[in-house]
Amino acid sequence: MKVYEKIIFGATCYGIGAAWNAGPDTLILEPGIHPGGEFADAFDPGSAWNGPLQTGEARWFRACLEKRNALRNGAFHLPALIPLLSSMILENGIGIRLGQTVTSAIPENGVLRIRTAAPEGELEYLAFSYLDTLSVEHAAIRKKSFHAAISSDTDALPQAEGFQRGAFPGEGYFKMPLETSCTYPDARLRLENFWRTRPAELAAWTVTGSAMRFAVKLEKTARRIAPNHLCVFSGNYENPAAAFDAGVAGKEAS
Amino acid sequence: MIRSVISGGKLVRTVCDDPREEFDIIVAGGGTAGAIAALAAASRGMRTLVLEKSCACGGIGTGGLVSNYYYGIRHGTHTEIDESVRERERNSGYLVRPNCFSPELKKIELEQRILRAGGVIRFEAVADAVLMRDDSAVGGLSWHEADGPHSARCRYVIDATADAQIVFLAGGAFRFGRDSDGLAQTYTLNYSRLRNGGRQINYGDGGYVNPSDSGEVTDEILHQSALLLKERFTPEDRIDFLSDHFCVREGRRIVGEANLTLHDVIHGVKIPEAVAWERSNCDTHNLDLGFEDDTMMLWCVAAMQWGRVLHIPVPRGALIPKGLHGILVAGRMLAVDHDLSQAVRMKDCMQFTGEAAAVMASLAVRMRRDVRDVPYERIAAELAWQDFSGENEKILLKHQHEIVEGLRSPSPGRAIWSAYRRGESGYLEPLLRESGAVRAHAAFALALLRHPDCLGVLRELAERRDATLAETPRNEPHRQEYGAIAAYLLGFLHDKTSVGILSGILRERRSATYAVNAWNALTRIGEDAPELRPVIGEVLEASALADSPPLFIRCFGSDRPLGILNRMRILTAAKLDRWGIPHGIHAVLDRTELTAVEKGIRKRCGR
Ligand SMILES: Cc1cc2nc3c(=O)[nH]c(=O)nc-3n(C[C@H](O)[C@H](O)[C@H](O)COP(=O)(O)OP(=O)(O)OC[C@H]3O[C@@H](n4cnc5c(N)ncnc54)[C@H](O)[C@@H]3O)c2cc1C
Repeated sequence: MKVYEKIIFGATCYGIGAAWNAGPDTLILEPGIHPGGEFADAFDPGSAWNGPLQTGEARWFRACLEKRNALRNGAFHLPALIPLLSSMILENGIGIRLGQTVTSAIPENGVLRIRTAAPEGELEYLAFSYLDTLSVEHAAIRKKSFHAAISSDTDALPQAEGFQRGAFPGEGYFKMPLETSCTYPDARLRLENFWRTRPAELAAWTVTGSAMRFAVKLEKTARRIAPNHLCVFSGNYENPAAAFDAGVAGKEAS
Repeated sequence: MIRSVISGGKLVRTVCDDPREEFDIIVAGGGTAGAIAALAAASRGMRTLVLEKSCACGGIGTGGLVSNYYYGIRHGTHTEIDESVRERERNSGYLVRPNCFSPELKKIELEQRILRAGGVIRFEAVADAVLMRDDSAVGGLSWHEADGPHSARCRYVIDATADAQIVFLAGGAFRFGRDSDGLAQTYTLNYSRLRNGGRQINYGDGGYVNPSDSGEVTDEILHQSALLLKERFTPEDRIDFLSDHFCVREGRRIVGEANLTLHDVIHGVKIPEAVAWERSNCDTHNLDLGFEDDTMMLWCVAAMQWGRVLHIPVPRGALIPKGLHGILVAGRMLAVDHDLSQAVRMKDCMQFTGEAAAVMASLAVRMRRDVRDVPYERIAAELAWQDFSGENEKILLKHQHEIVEGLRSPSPGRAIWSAYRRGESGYLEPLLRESGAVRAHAAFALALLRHPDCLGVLRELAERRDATLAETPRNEPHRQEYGAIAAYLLGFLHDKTSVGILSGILRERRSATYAVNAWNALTRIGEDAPELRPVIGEVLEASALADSPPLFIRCFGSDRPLGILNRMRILTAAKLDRWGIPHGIHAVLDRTELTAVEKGIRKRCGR
């Protein structure tokens, strides 16, 4: 059985960054179907897009978004993220499997035996090291919110807390803060109730869709479980470029 | 208990502890069918757990953005839910597209109803193993959540994962795809977009995929997603978001206690013990129809019945996996054949199968019996649908003169099918000597009856690549030119004389339709006549090796070109291998960069 140099859980921006220069012995395992889902599926367009980036790769990534008109004056057209990351993965030949949830990573004779729940059933991989960029331990959540994509024919999005513009007129996001114990049904019900009775200045805005996962921030970005088992939570970074940057640099941001 | 999984391709069963938690019914997959199953079970007082790997109920019907109905029969709990969703939509400020319900509000309606009925929902929970009481009795599930593994016992599992994942993990039998190349129906990567001032859903097809192969899934999703990357994103034509459900039309289909086929449905075979009804046409999106089987080709192409709406009873046995106990299925993995799975997948029916499965499981739990032993009348009484038996037979024209009249018209499909079902040929033969399209129509009807007198006309049509297209109610892209239909039928009738004509068609590659039909015909003739294999083999090989003209079909609804040359190369190589004819196609394939789907076909062909 092939022993991978590194297995990365999560086709997150950090995970893709970590795989960027790693070569064919690195494999990303992603439970969902979207690269960059920690931002894209959470409807989190990120913030502080103009912040400093350490690596040339991340500056190129950000420049790509700007060139394609998806990042304009720090406002992000979030739906561009999945297509861009997908094409980056393909062009860079990054090893990846979508639709696989890692269910255990157990040390065994100097390597890790990683099991996944996959459409094929249970699959096993061996790796010298394991990087988890996705898992959320409930107790470690510092901030949690539920977001909605909102749209309008006008562009008058209030400059209020919780509202964020996308790159284009009429493209916006609403971020509803939650207590960490809030469930999806509760979150959706609250969003519905809020929107039904929303303030008049939001009357022209509709909810196009609600997030496909919570946006969460953890107490700590990085946590070492064992010398060869590291967790770096990609969703903790301010935006996809910052997460990608940290992944490429191998930086365990705190 | 015994933990059952498929691990590394093998069924692995290990003894495990009994879980402490217990339910009457566990529904795996809270999607289109599963959410209704959970609600119907909980409403019947069953202690119900639903495991859903995404963060919401409704599956493709909500998260996958399929928020309209295609035909179907509006009946059952889900119609009440849809009415409540309509209520919710009022003044909600949520987007509602024309002729659609709001998927966001349906998620809420479904989960709130399940919770109110006492059901337990676990989101972001992936069912990953089956707990068995013995070799064949399912007695619980284990699943994975962010905080680790969980498990629970139950009396019945309803597998509503769309891919028969639970039946698969329990070692149950299933089928996949069509016989020729093993491919199923096409998939779509759905997304919401702003275009021409309105918000629409993209339903355009992407291509083929085996959803239970993560390599194929990965390859297809990444390529499809990358296609959405623009040189320059613009405010006028933009994506709002991509669905987090990979919208697949067909995955694993179980082998059931009763197995329903399109052949039976369109031949008026009586199907007992219906627990649900589908109402749809055989909505194949596959435009390389020559790779489908004869039933499909005869029905959709030769008799031009693609658009015909059928009433299809789903028998109770189609929800019961053969050889397993304590488990039922609901949703698009019912025991129907590939042909029929192109009809029996619409949302109305899928939701209703959820309700039917819940009724069946609840009765079995309450009566402490295997679901096979629950009296059918008890099930039927709780479901109370209208009986549509005999509806399909109404399309048949009863009198010869009606059939002849139909064959003389520019829309002869119904008459062709009626003539075939009637089974007599005498009154059709004189039509072959008339002029105009009626000759072709009569030849098609006679071909279905396997009457050799039609061969002359068929050869003529194929020889001159007759470009006539019949009129059909929906003038769909599945319609084929008469020349192409004739090419297929010459193979259906194993006409050795037409090898020259068919070879010419294959060589010239006028279109993928012609090429696939001619390929199909030639390989069949070769199967039947070993003495012709060297000649046919040469033509097949030459055609497989030629790089041009390009050979592609257009995906239904999206116009995306889908190359089929490599697929034809793989199938040709397999055929020639079987015939013992040496060839150079493998060498070309070895040098070609194949997609994951093409590699999958090659593997199934033994390479
Ligand atoms: C592109 C497309 C367009 C369509 N258009 C129409 C239309 O216009 N009208 C119409 O009536 N029908 C349409 N259909 C058909 C119809 O939408 C589907 O056939 C139907 O929704 C399938 O229902 P299901 O319950 O079988 O699957 P799904 O709705 O996919 O539900 C399966 C659920 O199981 C969950 N799941 C899977 N595995 C696991 C696991 N291991 N553990 C936990 N949960 C799991 C999934 O997350 C999902 O929620 C369309 C289908 C497609 C693909």
